Amino acid sequence: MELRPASYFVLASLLDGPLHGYAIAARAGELSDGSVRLTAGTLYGALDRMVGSGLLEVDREETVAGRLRRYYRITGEGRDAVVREAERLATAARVVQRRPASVKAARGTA
Amino acid sequence: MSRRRVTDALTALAARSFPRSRRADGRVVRDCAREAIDASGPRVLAREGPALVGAGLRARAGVAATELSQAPWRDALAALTLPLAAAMLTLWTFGFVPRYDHWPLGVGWVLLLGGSLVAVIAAALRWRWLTAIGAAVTFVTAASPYAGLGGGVVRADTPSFFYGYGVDLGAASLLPTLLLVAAALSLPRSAARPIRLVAGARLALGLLPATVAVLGLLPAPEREPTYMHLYRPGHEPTVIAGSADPWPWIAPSRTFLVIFGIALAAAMIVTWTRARIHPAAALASGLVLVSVAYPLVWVSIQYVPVPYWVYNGPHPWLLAILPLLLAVTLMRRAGRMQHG
Repeated sequence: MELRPASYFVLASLLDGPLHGYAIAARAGELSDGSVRLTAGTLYGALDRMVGSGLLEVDREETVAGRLRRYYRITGEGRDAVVREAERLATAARVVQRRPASVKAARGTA
Repeated sequence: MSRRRVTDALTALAARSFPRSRRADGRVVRDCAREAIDASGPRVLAREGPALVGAGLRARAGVAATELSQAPWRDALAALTLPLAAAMLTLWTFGFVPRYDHWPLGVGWVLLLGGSLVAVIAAALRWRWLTAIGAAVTFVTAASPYAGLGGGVVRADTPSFFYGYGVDLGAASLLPTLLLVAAALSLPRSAARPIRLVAGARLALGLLPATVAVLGLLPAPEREPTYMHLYRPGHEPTVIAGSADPWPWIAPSRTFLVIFGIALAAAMIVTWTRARIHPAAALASGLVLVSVAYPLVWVSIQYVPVPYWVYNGPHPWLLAILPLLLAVTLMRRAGRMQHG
């Protein structure tokens, strides 16, 4: 199953341990060099779907400075899915990177 | 008021879009949005606010879909067979009686009256296929004029119901009749036949509205003659009173509409209040409301003084959203009550 970029970076941001919503959005933004920008509304829609498909699970909830935070944890299935997607992307990237001349030419025209 | 209080108030307002059953989720998403605003400044409110509302509306749609999927559809449809068949027979009785002196009756009227009568009898006895066949025959006959069929035969045989103005009861009957076909097919394949006394009572109940209608409508008033102008060269036009207009239109009977309206309103109120005990009945009345939502709007704007523009363009369709929303609310309640 191919992951959308947002789902991929959300899963990747949880590889080091459980995080709450805003921390996931911030980490996904960092990991994607700013290409994935998630609002709270879209992030929680994605998190709900991933919990529903078994890629994530809710770890705990806690209130910090009067704000309710829900922490999410990646499941074994989620870990497998993100690793498979990383391998698929790497294979796809190698198809182009094996041709240095084409890459150089593209960079030259950019 | 500080900037933070303003953003807090706006995000709290946006989080109200979450349904009551998902308020906790709404609070988590709202607080996440507030953290984003704290970190990046109030300019991200323009992005976070609409996204928060969107998430709430998606949650609402999800909850509604779950409730509707949990609703007792089969039971509701099965409960509808007899009342719907009785309503159809009553409708065609109202259509037929004002022209009962037009013999022979014609294939169209035989099929309409016969099909709906068969549907009532079969529904009373819980005969699945016969109810469906009776309803299907009624539907095909009622729909045929709108498909351009039946116009070339004897006029009294043409089940053309469009009156030229007001409510087109022929067209209005189509969706409820289709609903009746679905209801008949949802009866269990090997439904236990009601015992003779119960079957008799069901049959009497099913035939009662049409019987009362016949008794109330007969004898039908004398029909107005058709007035024609005769033009001859050199003479003033003269008016001739011809035979009564034999067009088999169904006049939008105010009596029928009022009775049907009261019955529908009563059914909705009763099934709403008793939805906890009989969720299928609430769903059933919601389904009927969906099937008559558009004619209901037409009836309302015929008899309630409304501005002229309401009759034109897409306005009646837009107004049909109101009964549809009411129906969906009733159906969702049925789904909620079904699962406690």
